[in-house]
Parts: sequence; C-alpha cells; structure tokens
Amino acid sequence: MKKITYYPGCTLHSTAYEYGDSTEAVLKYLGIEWQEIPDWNCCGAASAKSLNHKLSILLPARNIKNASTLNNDIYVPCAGCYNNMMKAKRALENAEERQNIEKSLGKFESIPEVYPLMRLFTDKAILEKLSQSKLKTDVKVASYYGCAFVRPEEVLQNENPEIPQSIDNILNAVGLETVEWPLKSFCCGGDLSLADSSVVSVLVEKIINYAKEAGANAIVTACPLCQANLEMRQKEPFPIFYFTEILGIAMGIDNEKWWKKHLVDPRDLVSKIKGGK
Amino acid sequence: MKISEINKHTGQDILLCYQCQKCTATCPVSNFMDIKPDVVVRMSINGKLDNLMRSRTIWVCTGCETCGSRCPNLISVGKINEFMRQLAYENKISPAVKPALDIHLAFLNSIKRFGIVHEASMLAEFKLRTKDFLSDLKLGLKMFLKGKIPIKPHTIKGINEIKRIFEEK
Ligand code: SF4
Ligand code: SF4
Repeated sequence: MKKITYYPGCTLHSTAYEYGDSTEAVLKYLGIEWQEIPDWNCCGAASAKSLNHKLSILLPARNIKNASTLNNDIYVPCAGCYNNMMKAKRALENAEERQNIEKSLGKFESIPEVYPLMRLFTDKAILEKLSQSKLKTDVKVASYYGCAFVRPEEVLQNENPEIPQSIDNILNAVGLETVEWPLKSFCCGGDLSLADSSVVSVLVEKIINYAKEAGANAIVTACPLCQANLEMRQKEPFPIFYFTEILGIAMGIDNEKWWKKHLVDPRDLVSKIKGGK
Repeated sequence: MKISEINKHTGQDILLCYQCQKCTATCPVSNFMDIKPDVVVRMSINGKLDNLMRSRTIWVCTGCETCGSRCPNLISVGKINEFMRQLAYENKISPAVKPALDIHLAFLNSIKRFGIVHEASMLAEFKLRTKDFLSDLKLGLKMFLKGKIPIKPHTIKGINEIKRIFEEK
C-alpha cells in the first residue's frame, strides 16, 4: 500500500472543505494511506513573503522538519502552500541557507520530497486504476492550474508552465473531455481578492469567458485559492470544481455535502456529468 | 542600494534587461500599475527605489511570475516587486494600496496567535484595519452560513516555536 505525508494547509479544513473531504474520499478509495504533517502550521501564504523573506522560509521549513520524521514524500493540495514549501526546500538544499534555518529550527535529519497533489494521480499505476472508472458524458471542462503550481519553473521543476497537462491527464483518464485553451496558467489574482476586488474581477471574467468560448461547461482546478476566487468574483453562475470532486463522481463516491459547500451551485452539471440529460 | 545588492536579493542579473517590454505585455495586471514592469527594471537599475517603494505597482503585482518565465533574459519583475514591498514595509513607507498591507498584517497576526489562520478573527481584524465594513459583507455571510468559516480557533501545539520565529525574523 502506498503511504504519503499530507499537508492540508489552512484551507482544506475550512474554506475549501469540499476539496479536503473529496481528496480523503478518493485516497481511501484508491487504498492510499496518508498522514498529516505532525502539528503543522500555516505556511505564511502570500503574506509572509510580501513582508519578510526570512519568515516566508522559516514557516514552511518548520513543516518540512516535522514531516521528515514520517519518512514519506509530502503531497500538497494547495498551490500557494506547495509553492512556499518548495522555496523553503530549495533554501534547505543550499548549505549556507540551511545553516541559518537550522540555527532557528534545529537540525534537520532528512529533507523529504515535496509534490503537488496532482502528481500522486499521474503516477502510471494510479492512472490505470483511475481509468477503470469511466464517466459517460458529453460535458466538457477547462482544466485550470493558475500560477503557483507551475511558476517559477526553476524552483518547482514541476511541469511546463505554458502548457501544463497533469489535471487534463487525470480527468481524461476517467473519461472527462478537457478543452484546449490558452489561459490554463493565467493568474486569477487570488492574492488580491480581498485587497482590490476591482482588479481581480477583470482577471476572473477573462478566464471564465475564454473557458466558455473554448466550449467548456465548467472549470476544474486543483487550487483552493483559485477555486474560491473564481467562484467569488464571477458574474454569471459558472461551476468551478476541484479535480478530486470529479474523481469522486467517476468512482461513485461523491457526496451531496461537497456540492452544498460551493458558492456557485454545481448540482445541475453534476447530474449531467453522471450521464443524466 | 547598489545594483549588485538587488541582484543578490532577487537572484538574477537585472542589467541584462534590454527593455523589450515583453514583461509588460505579458503581465496580467499591468493595466492597473502606475509603473509598468519594464520601467520597474529600468528604475531599479537607475536607483529610483524610493519611487518604487511608494508605487501601486508593488502592491498590485500578484507574484504570478509570468514575467519571469517569459523574459528572454530570465528576469522576474515579480521578484523585484516582492523585494521592494519588503523594503517598503521595513522602512515604514505608507503603502499606495493600504488594504493590501492590512490583509497581510491581519493574516500574519493570526498565524502568530494560533499557528494557523483562523479566518473569522483574521477577517474581523482586516475590517477593523480598513474601516470598510460593507464591502464583501454579503459574501462573507454566505461563506459563514455554508460553514466555510469555523467559529472556534484551533491553536497548534508548537505555538511557542511560531512566536519565536516571528521574533527572530
Ligand atoms: S521582458 Fe525582460 S528584457 Fe524585456 S523589458 Fe522585461 S525585464 Fe527587460
Ligand atoms: S509577477 Fe507581477 S509583474 Fe510579473 S507578470 Fe506577475 S503580476 Fe506582473
């Protein structure tokens, strides 16, 4: 059985409850065992790096240190958390910076690998397992990655920031068609959502219009900040899903609780994805 | 500040910039900036840091790194903006977009108190700082009614370590 270390971050138990719950349901279904990082803290999100560099490294570094006791790779569902944790990991890979971090946090025994949650599902064996649950629907969706899963490329070395594919591959495996469109990694302005919503509304409108024009009936994302922002700042109701919710539908383990948490009710489309008319 | 210092802090060579303006063309929020990304680089080279620290640009930049991944010379304007924002805060320069600083301060205070973010008290502090109680009120209420904003805060066990990290920074 595969075992992973899991860093839910602040949102998966609160504003992105449906992402957290659907992730856990899907992991259970696939027989993947997960353990949360012991006594984890907030990674500092956009705020620590905005005001103080050292703080922005030490906060996620403490999580890496606590995770290292579990001896498994860390998987991170939130793009912002993943990005911050990778920056701390790169700092730890530099001898001089590591010394400074250890001055504050004590010695690190080992440094685990850090991956975005999607990476778990693009593993060949798991993709094969996923493809045993096939949706039969003509609903099409636009996969949306946002910025922090893919950039800066030299730090993350994750996937091509211009044409990321992981979410597409996962959704296609369960039989959901994804459209080709150019704004997969265009910024939604999530970090500015509360500070200046006028800027953010323009970005969100652009993203949703492009997705619609490309023929999508919904957007599917992996980032709780993007998801909340795309739901909060849109004009006409356009459903925004987490990819784990789609996997849940395909596996037949989706939960009414998830749909009730959405600010934009996706239930009409959920029944279409299930094959209803 | 010397150019070499900016280079060291941002991990790049800003002198390579040949002002092609690709960063500005590709930046999702350049329309909302008072100093456009290509000019940010030029002003950093010319030592006009005070103008940058007082600009709207550094608070509107989302750090999306699109500029950095598309610049032919591997320059990220986002990294310069981030550094200028940190400097502006350190030097107590009043921010051109005050709510942006307010939200960061409310957010960090929440981490310092609980080790993780407690949305309800964080948003309350943000509202007190901005003194704007009406905008997004409906939205906040909707989130609350959907049970997305827990009432009770949770404090992590290692909160003293977090407090120490904040003091050391
Ligand atoms: S894209 Fe690069 S080289 Fe061109 S103006 Fe911007 S920073 Fe300078
Ligand atoms: S990082 Fe900032 S300057 Fe660069 S493209 Fe994004 S918003 Fe624009």
